[in-house]
Amino acid sequence: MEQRAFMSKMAVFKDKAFRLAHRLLVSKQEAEDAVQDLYVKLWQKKEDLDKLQNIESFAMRVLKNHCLDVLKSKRANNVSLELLHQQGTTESFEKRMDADSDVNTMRMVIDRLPEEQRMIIQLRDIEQYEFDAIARILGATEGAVRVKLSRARKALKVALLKELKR
Amino acid sequence: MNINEIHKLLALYLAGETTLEQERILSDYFRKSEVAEALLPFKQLFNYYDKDRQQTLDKTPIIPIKRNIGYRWWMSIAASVCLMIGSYFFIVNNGSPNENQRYTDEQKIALLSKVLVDFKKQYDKGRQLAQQGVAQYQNIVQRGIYSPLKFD
Repeated sequence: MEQRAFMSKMAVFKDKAFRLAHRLLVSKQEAEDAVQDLYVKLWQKKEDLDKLQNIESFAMRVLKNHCLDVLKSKRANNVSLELLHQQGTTESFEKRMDADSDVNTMRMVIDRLPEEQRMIIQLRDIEQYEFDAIARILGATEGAVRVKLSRARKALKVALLKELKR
Repeated sequence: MNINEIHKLLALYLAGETTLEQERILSDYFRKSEVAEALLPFKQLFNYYDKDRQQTLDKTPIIPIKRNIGYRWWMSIAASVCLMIGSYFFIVNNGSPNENQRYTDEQKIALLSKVLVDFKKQYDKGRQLAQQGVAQYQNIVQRGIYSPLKFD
């Protein structure tokens, strides 16, 4: 079946896509929906995909734009980010109780960073993309990506030190 | 790896100037070694990154079934046939009081173009409704979401 062949080709980045969406949207449910929407979009554009040099970067870029749109419309509807974070934390509260508390602290500290910094940390330090791929995903130059990454890493270090002192 | 080199790499890391290879050296180091208190935040951070990378998507994405594309085509034809029949009766009924009247060629052309313009409008509307119907169908079948149609 055509769909199956398509999925086996596209499934390689589904976990990365999920983790990026989860990092941006915080809620696991919403991240899953975002990835589902991404695959429907890719399927609809399947003829164009073959012309692309790098399908994965393209897909991550589409996903990133989608997540930022979701966040923007939430903000427009006056759903505060605080609330968003609360949803994210209560949702997996029990899981968090069981899990390693270091992991939770880290997740919380990173999720408090601005979207752009969260995104760049996710792409580089977690997904380990090369700078050219990150530049394609974010639509920036490699130089700009390095500058932003440096800022994000420093901001995270400061936030982490503050958190650990508490 | 000696500690001075780790400190050097960390400085480069914070400046955004490490390669992926160097970042792997750091993450290996923090995975295996006990570190001084000053480096503890970095150890926690790199260990967290290792863990986060293992997170996977539980739900496999679903791709729409092909049948839907056939439906869309079929439904817009059906909608336009209905509208065609509808507009035929509309014209016939409206035309009946003037049955005896003979139109000139210019009037015939004017009438026909009016009919075509009306038909195009109806056709577009029908098409739009049919597409909305298909979208609804897909939403219900694939995502379990129902959103009522919007009529203009």
